[in-house]
Amino acid sequence: MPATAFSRRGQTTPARREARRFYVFVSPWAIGFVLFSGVPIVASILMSFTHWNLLRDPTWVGLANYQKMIADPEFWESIVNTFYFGAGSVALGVVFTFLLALLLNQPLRFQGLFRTVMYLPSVVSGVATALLWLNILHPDYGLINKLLALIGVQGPGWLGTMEWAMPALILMSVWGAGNTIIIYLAGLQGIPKTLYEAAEIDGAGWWRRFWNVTVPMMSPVIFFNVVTGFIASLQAYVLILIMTEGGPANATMVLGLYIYRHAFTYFDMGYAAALSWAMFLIVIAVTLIQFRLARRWVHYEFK
Amino acid sequence: MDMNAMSRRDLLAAITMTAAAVPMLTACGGDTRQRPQSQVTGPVKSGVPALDANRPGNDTWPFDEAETLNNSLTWPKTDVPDPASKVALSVAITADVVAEVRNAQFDFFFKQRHPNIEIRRETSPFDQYLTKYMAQAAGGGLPDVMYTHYSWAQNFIANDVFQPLDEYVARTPSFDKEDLPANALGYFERDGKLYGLPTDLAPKMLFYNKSIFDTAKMDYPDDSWTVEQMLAAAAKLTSGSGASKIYGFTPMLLLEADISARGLMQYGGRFLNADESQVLLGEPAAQKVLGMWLDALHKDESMPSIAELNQVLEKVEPFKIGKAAMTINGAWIMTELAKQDAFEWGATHTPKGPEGRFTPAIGSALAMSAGSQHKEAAWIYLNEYLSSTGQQFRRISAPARQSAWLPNAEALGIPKDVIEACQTAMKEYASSEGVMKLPASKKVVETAKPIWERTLIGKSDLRSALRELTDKVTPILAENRIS
Repeated sequence: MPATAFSRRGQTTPARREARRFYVFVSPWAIGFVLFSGVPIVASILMSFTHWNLLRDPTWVGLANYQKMIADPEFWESIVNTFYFGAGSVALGVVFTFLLALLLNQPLRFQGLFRTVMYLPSVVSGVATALLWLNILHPDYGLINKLLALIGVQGPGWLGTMEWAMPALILMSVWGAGNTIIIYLAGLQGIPKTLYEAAEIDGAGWWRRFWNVTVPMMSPVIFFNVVTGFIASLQAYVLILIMTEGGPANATMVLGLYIYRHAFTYFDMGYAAALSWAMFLIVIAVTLIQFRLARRWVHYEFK
Repeated sequence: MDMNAMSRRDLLAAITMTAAAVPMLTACGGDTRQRPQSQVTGPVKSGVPALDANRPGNDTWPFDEAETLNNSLTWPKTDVPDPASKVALSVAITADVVAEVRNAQFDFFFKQRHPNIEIRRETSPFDQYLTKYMAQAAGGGLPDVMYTHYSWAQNFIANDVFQPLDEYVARTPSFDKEDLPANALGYFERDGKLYGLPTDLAPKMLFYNKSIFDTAKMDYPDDSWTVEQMLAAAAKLTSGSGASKIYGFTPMLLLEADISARGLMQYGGRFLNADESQVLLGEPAAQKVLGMWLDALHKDESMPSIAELNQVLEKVEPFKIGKAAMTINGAWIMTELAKQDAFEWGATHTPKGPEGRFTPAIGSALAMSAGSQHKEAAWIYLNEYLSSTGQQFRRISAPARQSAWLPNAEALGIPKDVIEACQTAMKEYASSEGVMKLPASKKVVETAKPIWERTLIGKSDLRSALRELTDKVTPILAENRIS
């Protein structure tokens, strides 16, 4: 008998065995996905064409929820706020965490301790973070305004003012960026030292080495953090719900919170589902644009 | 071409793509803040210290005290018979940790009186309760007995979630409906039928900090005060700045469900008309009174601004921490005030206006699910839990049963004069009149909120804000038409 048996379809026995194992291992995830994500996703599409208050059977309303959405000024207001928050938090987060990662990549004593300290905020729960920042941003007792007072600046009312509430949330969003720092650190450690040595031989100073070696080599990592950060910030609402509930005067009403309000305050599930699909399309569109723009600035070492 | 290998690759590609899409989609609808609470079937719930099932109690509510009280009370009877065999009655309520111990004791003694009724109490935090049971309603199964806030009841009733109780009331000769405040039962009634038995129904009263009045050498407020007098006193009592500021009054008049009774009807104004189908805020009477309150906020600075109010540490109401001289609040805060000794306090009638004295009487109820399989057992539970005896046993500070006020106040250390003022208010002028209760209430309030906040911040003038508010709220009121 030959070592390798062939089936009727020409497959070897090991290949069929491998295929079986593949399906066995992938099936828990696939089944879980279909049941707990796939079905709700399909259900949410159908739901978006209905009026459903949870207490009665859904009634089919066709495109009414989408028409209502397009005519809803608060929806557009929430879109503007969402992009404000998204752009602000990603820009600040990417720059700040990249700089922190550069510092943490230096061969210093207690490097491990510094890295741990920087990561610690990431393990603090969301509610605790919100309470902490409510106190940090307090106009009278808050740390930030106390520090500003030391240099003679009267701090704003932060979360209580229309102008400063969103900047305050953007500032807070940088907190807990430990995961991003870890990704940057991994990227920084993957840059070949030979590139820096070559640059040095060519007479490049620290800025040239940073700008012409570090940044291009890190561009795929930066791009990853920009894309995932933007998606996360477009969906963010939990901390905003706790801290401002969308106020004052809707100044921090982001789309995620607007969806939450329609779903779990008004129990208008059809409209909330329509809003969710609008958010999904926005996320997809923004991500596609980012991928298109990435061709101009992201450098891949291997293609 | 190896078709098998290709299909696996395709599958992997599909999985990768969907895996990337899932976080986006699921995050669109998921609420990570409110994790579902486990359905506990025993008498002890998370957040409550483990209680001895045979002698439930703790330092606040010792078992011996509960047993003595239980034995001293006469529990009401009903002609509705006990079940012939054992039934498990699910009861969904919202309660804090302290009240939960008392509830466990109530259930313990209830079981002794009704051995065939096993109580399965599900206690949820107030802010999670509605979401939890709305979702459960969508799934088709609700508890036999469930809590309802006054503002939710009409929505549940309109959607046939609650069972009318009149038949059971009729079979309970000792049921004393006169002991319930008729002027505040409207939240739980529809078409002449009663759908819920109130647990607490209390008026909003004018509370004051005696220490601040004494320091300012001013007389305490009394029932002769008008709204103008109150606002003038608030201006005089305001002092300090920043962290040490003492406000004359808190909070500013907000466009909430009870604003008409709380601040507008005294001048002949209202937020909505009586059947909640029309916005009346733009009318001169409402404009006048809102302008008066805005002056107190902007000119006198006698109330916390939105910025200050939103950022009081841990969002504690300034009056409760001694940082405001007066507040108009529900009588239920008496329990909390009675426990603190940071300042002396008192309470009196809300101030009157040219059109008289008004105050909202609001509270909650327990109702029986229309789909309950154990309606008779549910009634037996409701009848006892919400009887005067039951409310005295539970020692709540603002019981719906008027006969329970004094004994409870005495047990809780609440001054008798305050209780008498509350009872007078309930008899004479507190009511559900002017309090929004129909299904669109929440949407009306949330729509009005940012517009009113812009006015409070000074970004919009009163007249244009009220015009915008009328335009935006009017279409929403169509949702109040209950077919």
